[in-house]
Amino acid sequence: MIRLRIALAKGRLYQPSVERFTRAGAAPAGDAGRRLLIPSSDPAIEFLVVKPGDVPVYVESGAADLGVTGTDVLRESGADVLEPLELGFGACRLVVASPAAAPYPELPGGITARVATKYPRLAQSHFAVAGRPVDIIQVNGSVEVAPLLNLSHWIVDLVDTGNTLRANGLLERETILCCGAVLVANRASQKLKLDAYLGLMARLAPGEPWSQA
Amino acid sequence: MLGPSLAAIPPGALDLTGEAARRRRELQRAAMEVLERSGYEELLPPTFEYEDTFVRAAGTGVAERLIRFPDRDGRILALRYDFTASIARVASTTFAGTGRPLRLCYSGKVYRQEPERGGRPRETRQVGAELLGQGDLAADIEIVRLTLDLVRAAGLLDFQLNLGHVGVLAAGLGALEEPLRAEVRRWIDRKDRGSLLRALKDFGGDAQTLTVLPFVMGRRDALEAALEGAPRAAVPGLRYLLALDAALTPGERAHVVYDLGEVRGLDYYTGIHFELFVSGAGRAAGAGGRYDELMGRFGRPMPAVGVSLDLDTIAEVPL
Repeated sequence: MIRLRIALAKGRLYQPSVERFTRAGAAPAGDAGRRLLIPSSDPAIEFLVVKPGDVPVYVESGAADLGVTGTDVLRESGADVLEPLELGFGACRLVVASPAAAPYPELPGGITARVATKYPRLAQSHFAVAGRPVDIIQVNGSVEVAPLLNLSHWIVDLVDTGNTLRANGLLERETILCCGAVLVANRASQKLKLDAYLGLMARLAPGEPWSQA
Repeated sequence: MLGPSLAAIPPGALDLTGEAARRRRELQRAAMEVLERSGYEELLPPTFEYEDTFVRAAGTGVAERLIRFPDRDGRILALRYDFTASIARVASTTFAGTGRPLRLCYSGKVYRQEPERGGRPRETRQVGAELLGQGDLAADIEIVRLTLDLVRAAGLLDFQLNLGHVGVLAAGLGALEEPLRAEVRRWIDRKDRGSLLRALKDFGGDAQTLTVLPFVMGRRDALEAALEGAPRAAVPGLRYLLALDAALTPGERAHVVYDLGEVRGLDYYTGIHFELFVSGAGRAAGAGGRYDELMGRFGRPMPAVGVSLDLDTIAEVPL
């Protein structure tokens, strides 16, 4: 009988997530392919494979009991979920970047900077806390070309090695958030299925004292 | 097609018909029967009050969640954020002279702003009860028992009450300085034990218990185990929960789980506090506890304990 449904994000976090759950004795049976729900080698666990941005939504609503997501996506979503475990992979940074040749942070003539990003909430709050008014432009991909095309002056985006930024003539100016993969859990499910939850946590992070007093 | 001004329904507003409407009406009737039989008098407060009434009751944190509008004289009104504020106001005015304890109950909608993204409902149906003027264990047990009766009357079988006491974490949190204390509360709230262990590894004594106590969840034996090695300031809270447990019947005990990791109510509750979880619902379907400081904010200090259930969440649970 299925006790726990776990939402995995397609994309860069998918393979390391699969490896981690496989080591914990819950290997997804076969590839995601077109199927949304895939069983695992543990009959009590099934996986749900969704777009990265959807993991917090599935877990917050309880459609999935647990999920793997990046802190970038999680904070941007504002989802109210438990975050019991940092998984130690998928490390990267959410940064402000701008053309290497242009002055920063002042723009000539005192004009308001336009900032292209996939993370409008995090970008907005970063500049708001600093008391620096900016104009946020939400885009869904190819953020790095925005300054080249004059869509924006700066960008806020996720960087890993920084190669893509450099290739587009951009320079990292500020770090907003250090990100990584994190296991999230639904608040109600963690309480209602405590035994199954603790059992899985002990397998995912054997070194930590998960069992109850 | 209707023009935008005619077609629009505001985000978070709902029309309910058919089974959805019927189920809510039945739930409300069943709950009110239980409350009346238990000696609680119904109060029908106004749908709007001065915003100050809600802020006074629940703290400045609710200000951003009020749905407000100006009155003719320029004073700011707010739609009913909760019933507790109105009950506190009435208990300190209209009922100021009546005998104690006061048992009041209610059913109706509350109105709260939700984040724009979610499209979450901005009005939800509640039923609930307040027991005012009695500060002992018997009053807490009465409200816990009443909560279980209300849930059973709703026809639910698979549910649990996660019950804690604000005194348990107070000692550990009190040993920390801001801003670390706020961070630690956030990690406890997220059950992020890794961050807690890292941040508190150089702390001894009471602060160190924050890596253990918030993760205690279980029956009587979990409380007894937590009592060993608990800081002295946490002992009265733990003993109080044990005394409450001893007073419950086996049938009631089957639905009560002691949970020492809830930190959200720490600024509001002063004794026991609990949340109701129902199988099939992704979030709490009700909450309650003791808030002895509430009535003092309305000029009539007296102990208070109460519960409110979210009828919409319960109505959506598959039976």
